[in-house]
Amino acid sequence: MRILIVEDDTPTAEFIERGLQELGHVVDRVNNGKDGVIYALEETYDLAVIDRMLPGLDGVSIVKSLRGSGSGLPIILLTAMSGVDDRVEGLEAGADDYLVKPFAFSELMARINALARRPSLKAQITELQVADLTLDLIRRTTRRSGQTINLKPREFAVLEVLMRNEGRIVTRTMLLEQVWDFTFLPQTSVVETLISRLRTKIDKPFDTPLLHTVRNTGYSIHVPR
Amino acid sequence: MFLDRLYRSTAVKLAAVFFGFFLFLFLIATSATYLLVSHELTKTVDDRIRAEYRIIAAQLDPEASDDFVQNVQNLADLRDPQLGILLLTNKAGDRLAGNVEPFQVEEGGSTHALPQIKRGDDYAYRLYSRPVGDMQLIVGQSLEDSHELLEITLVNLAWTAGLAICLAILGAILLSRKVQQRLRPVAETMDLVADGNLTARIPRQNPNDDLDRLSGTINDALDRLKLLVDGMRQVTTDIAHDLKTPLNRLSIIIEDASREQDNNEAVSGKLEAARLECENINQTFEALLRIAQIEASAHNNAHFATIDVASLIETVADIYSDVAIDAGMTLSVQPTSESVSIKGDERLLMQMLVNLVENAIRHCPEDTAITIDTHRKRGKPIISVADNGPGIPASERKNVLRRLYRLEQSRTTSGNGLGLALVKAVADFHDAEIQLMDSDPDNRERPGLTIEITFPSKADQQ
Repeated sequence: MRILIVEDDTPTAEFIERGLQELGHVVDRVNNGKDGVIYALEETYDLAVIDRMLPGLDGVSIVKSLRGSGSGLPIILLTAMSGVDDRVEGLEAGADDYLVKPFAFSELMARINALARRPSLKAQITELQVADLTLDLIRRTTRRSGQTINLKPREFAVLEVLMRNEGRIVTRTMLLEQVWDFTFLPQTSVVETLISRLRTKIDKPFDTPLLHTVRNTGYSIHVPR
Repeated sequence: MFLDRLYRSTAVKLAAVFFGFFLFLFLIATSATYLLVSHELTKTVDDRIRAEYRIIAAQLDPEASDDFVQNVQNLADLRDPQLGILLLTNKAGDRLAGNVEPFQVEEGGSTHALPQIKRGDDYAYRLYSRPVGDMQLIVGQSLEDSHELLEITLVNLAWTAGLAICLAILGAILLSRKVQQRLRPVAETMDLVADGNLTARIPRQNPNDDLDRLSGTINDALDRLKLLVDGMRQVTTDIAHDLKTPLNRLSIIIEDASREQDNNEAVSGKLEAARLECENINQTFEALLRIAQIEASAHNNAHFATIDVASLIETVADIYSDVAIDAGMTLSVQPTSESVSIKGDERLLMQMLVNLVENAIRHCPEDTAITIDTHRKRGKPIISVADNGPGIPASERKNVLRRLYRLEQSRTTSGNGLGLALVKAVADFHDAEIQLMDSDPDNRERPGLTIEITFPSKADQQ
């Protein structure tokens, strides 16, 4: 992928750049808002990571001007401001995702992957399938190896997010945001508890485990390699 | 210096304004009195000379006009021209009878200065001239007496005005000194506060007059300010202290790692520990920032909506029932037929409930039963989370709502001591009262803890 980083803090920018390059991505890096808009409009990128606080033009303004000129470039906003209002403002301006500093690189990576391969016609998918596990999004039913599995609504929602990102890591924070609508980190093992219930239902009774824990990061669903 | 202060004193300014106003009214009243008196005096003189004219004119017998002239002359002889004038002329203006030399005067009533007659310095006469048969009769009276009366009135008024002005000025000075005397302690106290002495208070005097009430209000504001500043100082110290511990641990871990690196040992475990420690510090900051943000946006109810409390509680119970079960506890919702709704920020209320439930789960032993309940008491919506765990001693209840405060027994468990502080911040944000109490006061071993949040009733929210 070709990725644009707009970040004025050099260590952070280099950290992201190095990480992405190691994963084989091509990275361009600029340190101010004006250059960010110019690069984003004149070059072709698959994704942009933009800091919210920048000299000159701030991140939200960049997103607004990009969206204003018709750019559909997937954008992740980085910010030190974690208030709900800040998040809403960023997303309403047209950003696709919002990541609060400090963040783990794995968190950024998971979000980049989820964004980059986000199916463009989400609505048309009515069924998700990983190996012999199927999710009927219309009837809200789950089956594995022909057996119907009863899932609670929140368990179904978690499984749906995981299966939409088959083979990619979905972090705890991503799950909390998308399924629980929590923008804070709970002090108890809410996600772990639900995952363990889910695992008991979709994996335990069967031979091959599909739901995998990625240590310190999150979860992934895929056929074991 | 004194005059300068006096000039700048609010009391003097006010007094000056009132004084000006008073003077203006006084002048109007004086002028009115003067005009009225003058008018009345002229009218009295007029009435007299007219009456005299009528009496004399009535004596005219057209058949015996010579007798009439003689009569008028007799009357005129009795009269001192310095006081009154009587003059009868023919049509040509020649004197027929009278006590003065003839002079020209218009028909009817008029005022004339007649220096050829009058001695002294007030020559004014009030005259009345009318025909009698084919003659002209002029009756007049000196205005000297009237003018003297007017003068006395005027002098009187002037004295009164002078006295009033003096009294007003004196009053203004006294009033301003009095007010300054009352204001000085306020100013001195505020100077002390400005210098950083937040314990200074304005001494109360003359209970319940307006200045005293103002002093009371200022003292209350100072009390709150002191509380806030103390709280902030406390928090700053607590933050510094609470972060020193993990930072110290972090430093040790990194030092260890670098030593192991020198010995060519694997350091990934140590690095992982360092990362976790950083995450901890970060979460503490995150929670502190969140509380600060909620406090900063107090009274901004832009996101307020009507929230169905029962469904909010159901959601939280649904999310946490499995977590509670894994911790060996039970989490249930007290069934209620009442529909309770509050105006509030749903995300904040959700986080408040989550914190309450998580607080119970994290600090209670196994076998604890946690119950969430909502109902109305005297029209006020209440949300409560109750457990039958070890409870919190009454003396500690106020403290646990403070930022970073942790009970001794919970020092060992994880957590940042901010959960209940956030609950308090959200409650304050909604003008709600927070109350901690025993769930079962009779049970000495496990009194349990009930945290009750009482929201303002609909009527109070308007």
